[in-house]
Amino acid sequence: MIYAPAPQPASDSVSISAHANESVRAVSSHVRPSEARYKFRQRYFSPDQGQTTIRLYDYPEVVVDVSNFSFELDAWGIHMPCAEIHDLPRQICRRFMTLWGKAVRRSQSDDEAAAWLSILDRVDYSEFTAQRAEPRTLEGVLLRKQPFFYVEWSDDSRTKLTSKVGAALNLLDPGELFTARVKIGRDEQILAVSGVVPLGPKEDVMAEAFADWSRKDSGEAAEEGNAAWRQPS
Amino acid sequence: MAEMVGRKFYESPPVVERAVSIFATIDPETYEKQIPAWEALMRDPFPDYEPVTQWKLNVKQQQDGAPIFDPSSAEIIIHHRFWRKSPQGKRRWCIQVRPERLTVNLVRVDDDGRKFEEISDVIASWLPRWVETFKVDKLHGVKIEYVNVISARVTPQFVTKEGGIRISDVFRLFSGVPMVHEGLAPPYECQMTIVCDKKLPCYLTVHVFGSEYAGQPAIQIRFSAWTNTLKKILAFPELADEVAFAHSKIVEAFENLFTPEAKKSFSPQ
Repeated sequence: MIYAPAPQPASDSVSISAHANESVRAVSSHVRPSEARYKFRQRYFSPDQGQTTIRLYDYPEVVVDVSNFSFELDAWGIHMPCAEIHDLPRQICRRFMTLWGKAVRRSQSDDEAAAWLSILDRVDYSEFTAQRAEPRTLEGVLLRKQPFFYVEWSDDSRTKLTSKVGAALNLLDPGELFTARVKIGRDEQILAVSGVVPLGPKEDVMAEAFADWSRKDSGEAAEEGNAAWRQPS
Repeated sequence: MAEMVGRKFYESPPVVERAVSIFATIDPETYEKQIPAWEALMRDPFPDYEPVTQWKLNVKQQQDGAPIFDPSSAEIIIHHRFWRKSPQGKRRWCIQVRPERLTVNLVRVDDDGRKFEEISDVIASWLPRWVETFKVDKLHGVKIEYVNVISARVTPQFVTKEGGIRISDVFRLFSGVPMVHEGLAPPYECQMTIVCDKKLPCYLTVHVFGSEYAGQPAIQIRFSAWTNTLKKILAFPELADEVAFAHSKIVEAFENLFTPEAKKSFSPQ
């Protein structure tokens, strides 16, 4: 009994090729192409093992020069032999970071500036800069830990944190004021919290702060009053 | 699920490679974004990184019937292989990641005998990390491949002085020719897919073809048992049983398709 074909997934063997049947059929054309264009199926690149991401809006296009089997990455100014195309992700990171560094130092040549503008049209630069930004020191109150971490910041905004991000706040008690180093990404999304320093229950901290103000206020008011009393009319 | 054939162990089977693949749905953006993180995970235990470039072309027919290259769908894809070498410096273990699967390969180095359970242990160790890294939530099945080689290097007992391979003494499929003949010459390639279980589903492909191994003429006998389809959702607790079932079909093929003479020469333990 012969059934309909069962689509078999391609072989994953690494040691010996079994693709004896696969071949590229002959191309018949009266015009020999000078170049061939391919989409390079990768849009995310990272120069630092995933800490920062260079995200392209679309898959980049590789233009192969069939006369010498080299290729150019369209609009990036990268030229390489086809045999080394597996190194293209690293070269994209190098090109981007080199031009970015020169842009920061304001040391780009005219050609480099033009290339950088071309690359910026293709890259989500705001995401990159948000990831590169240093963490900020913020103050907040931990409102609750269960069922999720919920924080009120000093600007009165409130944020629900994922369990992974909020785990750094686990040493706090609910209602406790704290400072922390907070890494903020795009759309004000909190990416990481570190360096948490408990300041104590909010009421106690506020009471102490107001007590200081009261002491200062009463002292200064008395001085002002005395000064005014002494002023000639 | 019970194995149909009792499993035997052999001291020197003709297996030169075992591969187990787990199929899943992975969000394409997540896959691309997480590759650097996966590379970082692999760096110490599987330090030998090998990127493999796949050039995908499409050829279409013009109206006059002449085939031409279709530039609109040409792609380049980089696949990632991470190797661990043997103490002798040869590539032995490989973990491959692709947009829709994780594969673990165990390659024979010289004459060292390996067992399938070693792959299972590696999968048990790395599967959770793969699931977490690539946010896998749907599995679709498994595939197990065994690559057997008949050659002067692996099975000298079946190679004549003139270098010919006595395939009919080794394998019961695709080797007997019911007519008078003096031998077989290349091209030699035969393939068959057996339906093992329509419901699961599970298929077994037997692929026999002339090849090369270690620079010598060889015949490859490949067994591939697979259970994956896109429509199927496999729960994580069911994965081990599915792997075991697919492996049992490989074992069955090995026991039933190699000749008794061949199996005896593989030194059953």
